[in-house]
Parts: sequence; structure tokens; C-alpha cells
Amino acid sequence: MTTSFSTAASPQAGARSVPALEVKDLRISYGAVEAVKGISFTVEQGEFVTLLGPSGCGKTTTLRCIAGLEAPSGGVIRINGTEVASVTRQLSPDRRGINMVFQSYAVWPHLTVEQNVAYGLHGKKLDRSEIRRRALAALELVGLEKFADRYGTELSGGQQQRVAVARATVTDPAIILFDEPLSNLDAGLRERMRAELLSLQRQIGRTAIYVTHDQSEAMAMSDKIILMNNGAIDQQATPRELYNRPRTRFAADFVGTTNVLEGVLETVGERRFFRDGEQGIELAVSDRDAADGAAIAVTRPEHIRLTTDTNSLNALPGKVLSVEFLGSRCDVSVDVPGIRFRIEAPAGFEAAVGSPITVVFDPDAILILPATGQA
Amino acid sequence: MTDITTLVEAEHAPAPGTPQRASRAPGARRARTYPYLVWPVLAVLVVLIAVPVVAMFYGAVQDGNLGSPKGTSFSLRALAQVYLGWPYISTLLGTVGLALAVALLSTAIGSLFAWIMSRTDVRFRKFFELTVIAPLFLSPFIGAIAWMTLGAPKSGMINVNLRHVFGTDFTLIDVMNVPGMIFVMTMYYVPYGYLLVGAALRNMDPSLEDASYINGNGHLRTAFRVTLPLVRPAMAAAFFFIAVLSTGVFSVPGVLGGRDGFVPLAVRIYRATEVFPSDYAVAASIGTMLFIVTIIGVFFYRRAVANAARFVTVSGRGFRPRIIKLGSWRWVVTTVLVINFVVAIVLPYIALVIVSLTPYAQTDFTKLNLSLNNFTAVLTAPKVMEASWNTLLLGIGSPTACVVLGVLIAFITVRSGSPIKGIIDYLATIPLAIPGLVLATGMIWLYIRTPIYGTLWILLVAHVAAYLTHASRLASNGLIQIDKSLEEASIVNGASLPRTLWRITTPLIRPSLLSAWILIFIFSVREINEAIMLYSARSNVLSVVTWDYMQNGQIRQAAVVGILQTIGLILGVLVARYAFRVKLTSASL
Repeated sequence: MTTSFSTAASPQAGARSVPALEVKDLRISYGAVEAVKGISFTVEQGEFVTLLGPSGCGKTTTLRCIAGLEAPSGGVIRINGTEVASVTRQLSPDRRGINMVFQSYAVWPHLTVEQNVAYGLHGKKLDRSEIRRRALAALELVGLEKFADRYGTELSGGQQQRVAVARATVTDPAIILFDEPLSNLDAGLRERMRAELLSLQRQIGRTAIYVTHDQSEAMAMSDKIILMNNGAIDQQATPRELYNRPRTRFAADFVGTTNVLEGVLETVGERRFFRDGEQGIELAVSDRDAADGAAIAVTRPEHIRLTTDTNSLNALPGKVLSVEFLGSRCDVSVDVPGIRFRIEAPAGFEAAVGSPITVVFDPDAILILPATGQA
Repeated sequence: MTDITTLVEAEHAPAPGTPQRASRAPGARRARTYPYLVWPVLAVLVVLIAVPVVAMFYGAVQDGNLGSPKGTSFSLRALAQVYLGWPYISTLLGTVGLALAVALLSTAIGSLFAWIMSRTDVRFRKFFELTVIAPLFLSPFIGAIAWMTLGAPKSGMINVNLRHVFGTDFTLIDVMNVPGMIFVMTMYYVPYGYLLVGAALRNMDPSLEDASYINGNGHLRTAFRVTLPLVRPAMAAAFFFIAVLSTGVFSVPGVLGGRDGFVPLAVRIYRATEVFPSDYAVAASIGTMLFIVTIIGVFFYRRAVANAARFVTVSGRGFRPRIIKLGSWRWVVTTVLVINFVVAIVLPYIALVIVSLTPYAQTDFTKLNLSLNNFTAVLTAPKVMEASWNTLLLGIGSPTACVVLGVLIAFITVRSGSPIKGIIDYLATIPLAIPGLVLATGMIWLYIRTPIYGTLWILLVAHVAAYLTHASRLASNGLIQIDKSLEEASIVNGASLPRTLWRITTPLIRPSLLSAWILIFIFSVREINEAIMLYSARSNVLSVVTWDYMQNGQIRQAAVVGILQTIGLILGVLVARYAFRVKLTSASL
């Protein structure tokens, strides 16, 4: 037990090639319901990885299982190469060398800020002055050294958040787990804390696993995003790859705004066409890899052009449904007989509602996805 | 004092049952199982609660002298005697009838008071609320003694002195009979009806009544057509709870029931062991009968609580129900409340004080001659001093043990994913259904050959078993309201379970634990049902000393001890008030 603790606790102990976290075929079930259905992923040393997905997708359950707050019903979890959880053996959370920032912050109301932060240092055979020194250093890192003697509930939400972060970093964990830490903050504060959290993580160089349902948070912070749906991993990729090359309709829908068409992919000589079954829309696509047959075509709003010139390739006639001016750009909705497209237009775009307009699709920016999967 | 009474409401809140059921449902989190905590707690509960009950059933089918070295042997004699003979069956029916009458009256009066306090502009509300609740913190046993000195047919103060006034030989009041028992018991159970129904009235969405007024209904129609139906489940819960409690009451009928008149089953159990030749098998058999009756009562109680949960209307705080102006009715209402105060508290304690100060058995006010001799004699008696000390030890020991166990049970049932937490929850609830006398009967059979029999320890064990439920329920109620991440944060910060329980869980639910402690303190200090069965010369307590004085006809001495005990209870409650103030400031951190 003690040996595994020391290995798990110190990232330096493992060779550089040992991943900080390995999850293999992890399954978690509650009675008959399987909340996590055999997922596998690895997190490298110092990486910031986000588990992203809608509520109920199993991301928080997975995180809690890594923390040791819940037990797996199948699979293995390794931290720095040491097995910490399997069906037969579960290392208790205090021996895993992890720490966690909770969604509700979980700042203890009956302890002062300093006592909160120092809590995890007791039992580490440190003398009082050393505990105090480290606690204050951690508070300084989050800019709360002046609040050391306040009680938890005397702080604002953002300050409590910082206390929770200081408490999670002070024990020098191999991995810090974040369970939707920003979801209880209001919008402005959330973006500021997002930047702060990220710079803090870069500064201390710890491996971080972050759970959120907010795709913009995931995109902004992560080295890698693990997109989950229905207890399974939908796609693992860098933020750019996930946005530009989603592999499923779910991924395309969940990350960013998307226009989706269902239809059939056909090849005529050298050229490939996507035909929408119901509306009779036909688009030329440059994708060479996808096979002919039923498929889904996906385009981002910024890849659709609005024009009055009806002669371009992939030009379709439509009617303006609405124009939302957002300052730096406009969000335009256009009805192309029977289908509503969301299109990003320059800030200067102006058109009356109901006026005719032509939408032009860039063949290179039409992504073809397999039709099977979620409807 | 109302701070403390909220705990009675909290205890009956449907909340503790629901989360456990919910956590078994699919989709709920599968939490850690904590086997090193769960199995020892289960073992303790089995020994405390299940084994005595089994021992009682075992004792019911034995025969022979329990104390003799030859031991006992299997026999159906006692069981046949109790279950097949008319004397016990008729006593059973009488006991149930008594309990239902007490429950009906207490619920009705308690509900009426609750409605008055929450819906009318009655004057001196705080004071009257205190007078309605106060019996909860006083001893029914002492109240029965007081009323005996007031209302005994020949020598009762009321009779003796009003005969002078009216110049007759007439007996104006007689409490030494079944109506007398019902009367005194009702006084002590009205607070339960008041608190349970009062909670329902306060939690009711006021707009339901407002809608009735707007639709043209008056106060009376609104009260009967809207308010009453909505609190009916709470009233049913109060009714069955009081019925279960009064089924097992020994002290009041023990004082007021004559040697030949009707006495309920609990007194029969006592007499089976006390009157020569003592028959512990018959006592155990009556115990099984009583146990079955109370289990049925608890079944109905639990159903009523579940029903009441359906009616809980959570609405935004901040707006209050419409207050009815009593107008000329105010005098009627005030008079009723004053009478309640006088009858339940003022008269009994005046009587006790007078009796305790008279040098002879003298209830005639025209010949009154007061002295403190009784006090000095009784308070310096070695047995009273020893009993006071023992009562104090139990009054500190049993709530402390209950609260420690209660925290562990609450943690298991609320937080753990242990597969046997349902069993633990159930075991911890059973004592509600077991009258103290019944539990004690089982404990005699269980412990008679062990060294703890006849010591204070067995009383401690009996008290912990009987009052554990209060601690575990209040702790669970507290814990449910605490975000579980607060404990998880401790665990991921490297703390062990004991450290987490001590440093995080316990401080966070301290208000609930303080409430539980003081409630069990009160119960322990005034306890007589178990003590009367399990005490010995070495482990006497104040209640039993009082009982002995009563048996010997030394009413003045009994009154002194009763006053002493009451002072102890009041001091306890006052300390609690102080403690609560401490809690309130620290909770508002």
C-alpha cells in the first residue's frame, strides 16, 4: 500500500513515457443501468484533458471513479502506471495522489480559508510552520492570502472557487480533477476564472482532468477533448480537430453551431455530389474518402457565403428569415425551400426579412459523415 | 424552547426514509460501501435491539425459575396463559382502547392549538406556545403523582378543600380510574399533536387558503374545507404515533390504576415480575403481545407519514398565511389556553410543592402547616443521593452514546452505498415500535446471567437501545441537508474516514446533534419504563426511588424527588437554550 502510494503521488517517479492516467474499458453501473459503457483513454503528463458531454453522459461519473468516490463495475484505472481501481481492488482516494475541485466548491463553512487549504497537509508529517507556509503559498497563488482568516461562507462565489483550487493544489497531487468548477459562476466571472485556471495549470504544470458540459470552456482550455455521449466516448481529439473534423453527427452538433443535411452521396465520373433526399438540393463536395450511399453533410455557419450572384457553384436560392446583429458579425437565418440554414455574415451585412438571397456552399468545407448513428 | 421542539418535527419529517429509497433506484450514484464501518455498526444494533426482542420471544416459551442455576426449559404455559385466557385478551382490548382514546384527544386538542397559534391573532402567542409544549420536557410520571394528590377521590386536595367550600361530602373529581389515566396522559401527548400538525400547517402553501377566501368562503368554511383536509395526513401520523407511545406507557396507569381496577398491559408486565411469585415467562409473553400491537401501530404511522409527504407543498418563503382576527372570540380562546396551562402545569406543580412541604399526609388547606423537613430528610437520604448521581450519569452517558452511534448510522444510511444500509436503517427505527418495558423484558432474559445485570451499565444499554432512533433520525435529517461534496473534499484531500467524520461531518451537523443530545437527556432523566424492570439496589435512579416511595405510601417524599427531577429537566432545557444560542451564532458563519 505504501509503495503504491508513493508511486501514485509523485509524477516524477514514473518514467517520462508513463501516462499520468490510463483508463481501460471502464464500466460503471448502478443496478441495471450502465452509466459508463466501457471507455478507454490516456492522459499524458502535464496535459489538460476535458471530458465534455451533455448532462447524463457519464462524464462526472467517470471523474468520480478516477477520484475513487465511486467504484467501477469493470475495467482498470492506472495513475502513473499504478493500478488504483479495478473491480476487485480499489485504492482509497487519499492514496491515489489526486485532488479535486468540486462543482459546489465544497469549501467547509466551519473552517477558515487557511484551515480549508491546510486540511490536506495534516497527516503528511509536516510541522506546523511548514503547513502554514505551504497553505499561504497556495493562497498567494490564487491571490487570496489576505483572506486567510475569513470563514468560507464570508467569501464570494469566485473567491470560494479560488479557495477550492488552492486546496486542491496544495497537496501536490499528480492529477487535479475539476468537476464543472465554473458552472456556478455568472457569465463574466466564468470567463475570467477560465483564463485564471488555465494559466494556473500551466504554471504549476500539473496534469488536469476537467469535466464540463460547456463546449466553449472545453475548446478554450483543453489540450485534448474527450467527447462523451450516452456513457461512451464519441470522439477524442484536440479542440481544433474536434471542431474541424467531427467524426459523428453528435460531435458536429454538440461542438459549435452546425447545419446538417441528411441525404445520399453519389459519384458521377470525377465529381461527387451530395443530394438531399427530400428537398432535392444538390451540392458538389470535395470529399474523396467517404463511400457512396446514405450520408450526412455538415457545414459550419462561417463556411456559407451570402450573395446575390446566382451563378456560383453550389449556389442555392433562399429567403432571409432573420438577421441578428452581434457587433462583430451577423447571425443570419435563411430558408432554402424547407431547410433553415444558420449563416455567419460580416457585420456590415444588411437584408430585409423575407427578401430573396443566394447561399453559396464551399465544397471544401462540406464535411461528409456516416448516416448511421444518432438521428 | 421552540428551538428544541423543531427537532420533534424534524424527527417525523418524511425526509429520512425517502433518500434511502431513492438511492436504491436505478440512476442513483453508487457510493462507497465502507465495510469496516458498516459491519461493526450492524453488530452493535443487532446486540442492542434485535437480540433482546428475540430473547423476549424465547422467554415467552420458557418455564421455570429464571434466577435458579437449573435454568429454564421449553414450555407453552405462559404463552397459553396470556393469549388464550380472557383476562389478558380483555386487558389487551382495554389497552388499545385507552391508547386510541388518548391519541384521539391529544391529536384533536393539539391540532386545535396548532391552528389557533398559526392562523389567528391570539395574544401572547409565544407564552402560550411555551405552555402547550412544556409537558414534552416534563415527566408524565410526576404529573400523574401530582394529579393523584389533587384528584384522588377521598384525600385529593381539590376534593377535600372544595368540600369545605361547598359544605358537602361530595367527590367532585376522581382521577384514580380510566378516564383519569386518559386525562393525564392526554396532557402529556398534546405537544406531539401540536408539533406534528403545526409543522404541516406551517409548511402549507398559504395561497391554498387565500384561494378559498377569494372564492367566497369564510374562515370556518376555509378551515374545514381546505385547511383540515390538507393537514389530515399529518393528523393521522400524529394519531398513530401517540397511540403507539401510549400503548406502552407504564407510569401513568401505574400510579392512577387501582390494585383491582383496570390496568393496561405494561402494568401487567411489571406486576408479573414484581408480585410474588414473579413469572418472567408471563412477562415476556405479555411483552410479545404488546410488541405485536405496537408494530401494527407503527405500520399505520409510517403509512400516514408517507401520505403526509404527498401533501407537503414547498412554496416560496416570505409570504405568510392570512391571520384571522378573533374579535370577541379572543376571550374564549384565551380562556381555553389558560385552562390548559393551569391544568397541565400550574396545578400539578403547586400541588407537588404543597405536598412536599407538609410534614404529615395532609391535604386540607385549613390545617396547612409547611416545613422544609421533607426536603432535608429526602435529599440527605443516601439512596436519593446515589440515585441522583446515577440519574445524572445516565443523563450524560446515554445521549452521548446515542449521538455517536447516530452519526455513524446517519452516515451509513445517507452517504454510503452499502448493500446492508437498508437493514441498518430498519434496525435503527425499530425502537420506536418497542415500548421500553417490552425491551427491558427481553433484556432481562438476555443479560440475567451476565455481570452487567443489576449494574448501571444495563440501564445505559437499555436507554441507548430505546432512544437511538431519535439520534439517528435527527443526524440523518441534518446530513441530508449537507452537500456531500463537503465530505468528499475531505476524502480527496487525504483524510481518513474517522478524520472526515470528526472534522467535517460532525461539526457540520452539530445543531442536529445538540438537539438530539438534549432530547435524549430529557428522556433519560425521566425514564422509568426500563429502569423499573432493570434496576437494582446498586443502580437505582430517581424515577424508581419515586416509584418506591409511592408504593410505600410516602407521597410527600415522592413529591420531593419529583420536584428534584423536574428541576434537573428544566436545568437541562435551559442549558440547551444556552447551547442553542451558541449553535446559532456559529451556524450563521
